[in-house]
Amino acid sequence: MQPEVETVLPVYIVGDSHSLPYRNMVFREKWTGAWVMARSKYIPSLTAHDFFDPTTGDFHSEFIGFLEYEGLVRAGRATHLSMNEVDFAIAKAAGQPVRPPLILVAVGEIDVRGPIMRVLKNTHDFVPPFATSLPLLDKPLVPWDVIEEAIEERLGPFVAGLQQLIAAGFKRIYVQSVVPPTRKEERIRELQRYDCPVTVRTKLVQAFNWKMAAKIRSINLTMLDNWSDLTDGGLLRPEFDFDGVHLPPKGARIYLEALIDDAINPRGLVANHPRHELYYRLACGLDPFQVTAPSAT
Amino acid sequence: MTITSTLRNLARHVKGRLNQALGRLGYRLVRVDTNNRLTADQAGNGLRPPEARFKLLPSANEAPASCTALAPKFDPLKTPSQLADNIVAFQKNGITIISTSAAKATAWRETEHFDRDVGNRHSTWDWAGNSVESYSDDLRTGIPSPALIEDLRTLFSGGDFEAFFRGVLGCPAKVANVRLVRSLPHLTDGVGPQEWHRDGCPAGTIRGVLYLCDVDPQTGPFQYKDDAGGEHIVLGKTGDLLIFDAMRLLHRALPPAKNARSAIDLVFMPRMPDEEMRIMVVGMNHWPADPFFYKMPKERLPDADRVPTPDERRIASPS
Repeated sequence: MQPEVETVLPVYIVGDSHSLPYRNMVFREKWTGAWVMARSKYIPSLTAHDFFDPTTGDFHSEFIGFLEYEGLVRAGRATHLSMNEVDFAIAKAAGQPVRPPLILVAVGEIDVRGPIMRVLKNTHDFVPPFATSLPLLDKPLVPWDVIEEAIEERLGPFVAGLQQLIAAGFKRIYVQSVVPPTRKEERIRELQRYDCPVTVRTKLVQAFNWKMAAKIRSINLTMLDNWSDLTDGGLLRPEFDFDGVHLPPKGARIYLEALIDDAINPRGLVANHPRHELYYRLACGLDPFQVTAPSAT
Repeated sequence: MTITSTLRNLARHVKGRLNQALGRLGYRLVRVDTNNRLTADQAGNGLRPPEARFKLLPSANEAPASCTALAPKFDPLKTPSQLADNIVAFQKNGITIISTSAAKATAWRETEHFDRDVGNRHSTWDWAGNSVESYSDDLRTGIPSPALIEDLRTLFSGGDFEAFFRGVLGCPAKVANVRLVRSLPHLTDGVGPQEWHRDGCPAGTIRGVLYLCDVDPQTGPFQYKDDAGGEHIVLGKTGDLLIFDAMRLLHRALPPAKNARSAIDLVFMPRMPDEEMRIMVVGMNHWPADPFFYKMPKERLPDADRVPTPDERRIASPS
C-alpha cells in the first residue's frame, strides 16, 4: 500500500517578540486532524507604527524578507495568486495545494508600553469609552481623546499596511491583540524606568485593543482577542505571566487555536481563482499562459 | 597606437582609483546604460529594483463574470448532438433545462435521506464551502447513496452529456460535488441560497439542480435574472435538470410557500482530457481551493475534540 504523504498546515506568524512563543509550535487541530505548524519570524522592536510607511508604500524590510523567504512573495507579488509560468512550475514541483496563506501579525505592545504609556506613568489615570472592571484610581485624569489620538497615531500606519496586504491578495490575515500586561510593577520599572500601576497599564492595553479591533474589523480582517482566557478579574492570570512581557507557549497556543477555529470557515476566501483559470485553460487544450481565448457569449 | 594605448590605460587607472575611493564611501561608478541593463536583468529574474524592494503589487482573486468564457461559439450544424439545443440555449441564456428520468428522480426522492442541516461536517483546508455552523432550519441536506452516485456517474458519462459539457465549457467535466437538498415550506424571508446571489464559482465551474419533484410556484422554484435584469422563474417536472452559469446569472431558490422542494445540487468543474469522469461527494463544500492539488475531505467525527486516529484521517488522493 502506498504510504500517505502527510503535510502540515502552515500558519505564518510574524511580529515583535510576542511572535516568539509560537516558535516551532506544532499540534493537531480538532477539525480535520491536520498538523498545524507555526512558521514564525521575530522582528526585533517591530511596532505597529513602523510596520508600514504610508508615504512611500514600503513595508518593514524584515517583514517583506519573511514573506519572500517563506515563498509567499516573489518579485513583489503574492505567489499564490500568480499566473506566471515560473510560479506555476514552483507550485507543481512542491506538489501541494496553493491556498491563500494564513498569517498572524503580532504588534502593538511596544507602541503601548513606549510612547503611549508615558503619558500616564504613575501620575494619571483615564476613563475609557467602554465598560471595564478595572478601578479608577484617585489620580488626575488624562482626557480620552488624548489617549485616543496617541493610539490612532500608532495604529494608522499598521492599518494602512494591512490594507496594502489585502490589495496584494493576502486576505486571510489575523491580528493578535496585545496581550494583558504583567501584574509585576517592578518589571515595568525595570523596563520603562518609571512606574505605572497595573490597572492603568491593563486598561491602556484594553483601549489599544478596543481601537485596533474596530479598525481591523472595518477592513474585513479578524483580531484574535482571548483576554477572557488569559485574565482573572481583568488582570493577567499568574500562570500566563511568563517573563513579565510575553505569554508562555501555552498562552500562544490559545491564540493559534482561536485562529484555526475561525479559519476553518472559508467565508469565500479559500478558492484560488487564478489557479482555477489556469486549470480551465489546460482542460480546454489551451496554453495556460496565453491569455487570449474565444468566448461564446 | 602607443599614445592611444597609454591614454586608455590612464583612463582605466583613474577610473579604478576613483571607484576605490567611492567604494570606501559605499558608492560605485556605473555607466547609465550598464545600470539600466542590470536593472532590467533583475526584473527578468524576478528580482526587483531597489526602490521597489519593500512594496507589494496588487493581485486579484476574484470569481469571473462568466464561468464558461473559454467555450467556443457552438454551431449545431458543425457539431450535431442530442443536446445541441441545450448547448445553444445555455450559451444564449446562461441556463438550460434537460429532461432526465422522472421515474428515477421519484425513486431517489423516496429512498434518499435528507437527514442533515446545512452545517459543514466535511470542513477541510483544501475545499471552499460552507461554515461549520448551520445557518438555517428550513434547509435539509443529505449525502447521496452509492446507488445514486453510480446512477449519476452513468448519466454524466454518457455521450450526450460528454458532448454537452464540451459544448458549454469547451472541455469535458467532472462532478466536483453532489448533495441532496430539501427546502422546507416557510413564510419567512429566504436565507442563504434563497436570497439573490452569485455563487463565486471559479472559471470553468457551473452548477446543476435536478428536481426530484414537480416544482410549481408554491414549491420554491429556481429564479434568475437574465443579462438585461429580467426575472425568470423556472418551473419544472420531476427529473428536470437545470444547468446554469452561477456567476453570469443572479439567482436564488425561492422559499417554498406550501410544498417542500427536493432536489440534487450538482457542481461541475473542468476535467482534463486524459482524466476519467468521476463524481465527488464533499458534503457542504463546493469546489477545491486549488484544482491541481486537493484531498477528499472526510466527514468530521461527532466528537470534534477527539483527535482522529491515522486510519480515520487517511484520505484518498483525487488522482
